[in-house]
Amino acid sequence: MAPFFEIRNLSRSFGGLKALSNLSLVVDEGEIVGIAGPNGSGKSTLFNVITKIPFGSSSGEVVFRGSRIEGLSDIAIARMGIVRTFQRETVFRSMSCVDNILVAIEQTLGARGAEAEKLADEASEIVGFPRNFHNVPAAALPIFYQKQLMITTAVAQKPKLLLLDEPASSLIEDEVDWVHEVIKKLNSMGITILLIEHVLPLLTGVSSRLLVLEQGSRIALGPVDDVIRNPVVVEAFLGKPQ
Amino acid sequence: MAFDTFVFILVSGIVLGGLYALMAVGLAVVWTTLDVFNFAHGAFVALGAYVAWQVTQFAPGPQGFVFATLAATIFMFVVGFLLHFCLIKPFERSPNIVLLAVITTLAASSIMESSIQLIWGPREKQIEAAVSGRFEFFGAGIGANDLLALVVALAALAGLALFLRRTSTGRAMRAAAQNREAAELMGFNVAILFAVALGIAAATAALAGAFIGSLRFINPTFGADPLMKALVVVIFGGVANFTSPIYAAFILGIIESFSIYYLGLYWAPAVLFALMIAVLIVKPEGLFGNRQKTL
Repeated sequence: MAPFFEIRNLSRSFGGLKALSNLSLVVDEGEIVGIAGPNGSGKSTLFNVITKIPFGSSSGEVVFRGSRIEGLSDIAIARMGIVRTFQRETVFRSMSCVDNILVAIEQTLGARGAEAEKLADEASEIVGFPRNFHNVPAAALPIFYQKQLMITTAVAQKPKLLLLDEPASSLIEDEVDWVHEVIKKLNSMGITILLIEHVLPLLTGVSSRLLVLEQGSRIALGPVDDVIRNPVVVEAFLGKPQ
Repeated sequence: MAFDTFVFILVSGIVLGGLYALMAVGLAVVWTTLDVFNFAHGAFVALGAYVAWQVTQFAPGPQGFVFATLAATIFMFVVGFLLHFCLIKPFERSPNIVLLAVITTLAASSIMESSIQLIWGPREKQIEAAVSGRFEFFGAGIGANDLLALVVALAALAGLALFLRRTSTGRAMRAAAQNREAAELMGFNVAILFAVALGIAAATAALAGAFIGSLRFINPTFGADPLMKALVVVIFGGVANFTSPIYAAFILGIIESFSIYYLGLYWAPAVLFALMIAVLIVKPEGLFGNRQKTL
């Protein structure tokens, strides 16, 4: 049986700079794969080339549920159920929170009117986004609730593969605990997740496997416990022992 | 000044403001969604007016005017929609998009004006008004056609506001205008949404053009003046909200009317441009604006 999601020899260059270099990864359905690496190691670039927004890969293959998707349009990829969140709070700032959720449902799932509103309520319920914020302009929310709104919007699109890019950045400890719980909850609902995160307790706490990148290349991939003890990984994060 | 004169100037200014609002909102929609200034907007006004004039030649009378206005609005929506793929879309990833859009929209403006001249000739024309006669209002005689222009402009603006806030396409346009990348990740067809934005701008310009053509004479290059006024309105009011250029349009319409009365026809534009420069110095984001561009 074909894997749920696979990338084969994926590369992306910007002139002479290789942002991703021959990266391969197989992800099973229902898995959470954590992605770690220093800044500039190619983590967000990987999400960019999977979604083709703002750019696709230079070479290599992306296979989703048995079909190659790297040649499809960014719109087609988005509508297949591959949903991404950003490390910064990306909401439509002057629109109300419920309009943020509704517009995603309308464009991705094609639902309208009462059906779309029902889906928005369901997503808010799953994530725990307070409904009394629904009519508040998104820009007026504190950062934590903007993150909640972004994840609610992602969930409302009924993702099959969720690409979470540093969901815990800028959050305090209790809020990171909430991110931990919500990732576990989404995964228990059958959503496969790729998670980029610098908060290592969160990354290692929710992931079944870890992929570690450095300068666009894979330096480790495997079960969490194995990877965090891998001397190559320790050196990449902490430097070479004197 | 006699009270009836004051009322007459005030109402004239409000009517002018309604038409400026219609044109300025079209400019603002393009500015906030496509992030470019559309120098073809004046030519949209002119082409819309000429299409309306042409239709009234086949269908005279009040019903003909209604039909002509509708036909011009729909025709210009299609023109605007298609022009997006020629004027803006090919250059949208270019770092010089703003400059390129200035060039392409100016070129389109020139082509449209020349086409109008070739098709309809250089002689001035006037569209037969839908209604005639005057109302007595606090002692001042107000033209029925002026009032109709104001009512239709306000209705069109209300309809556009409802479209942007209550329909899924309008919501998607606002979202894509605020964060294109996030919108693309949600599967929005941004190219179509942006084409709709230019289509709406052209349609509102055509509606304004049809009414201007029924209030004064039109010629192939008459759109240049409304374009400048709409530019002043957008800068004066800012584009932070849908309503910002509308408030500005009414204020400037009234100021222009009183300037014409007190200073004369030739000084009135100078007053508006002086105000625009003052606003740019004191509050560059516009009187009703903040630093964020939204729709």
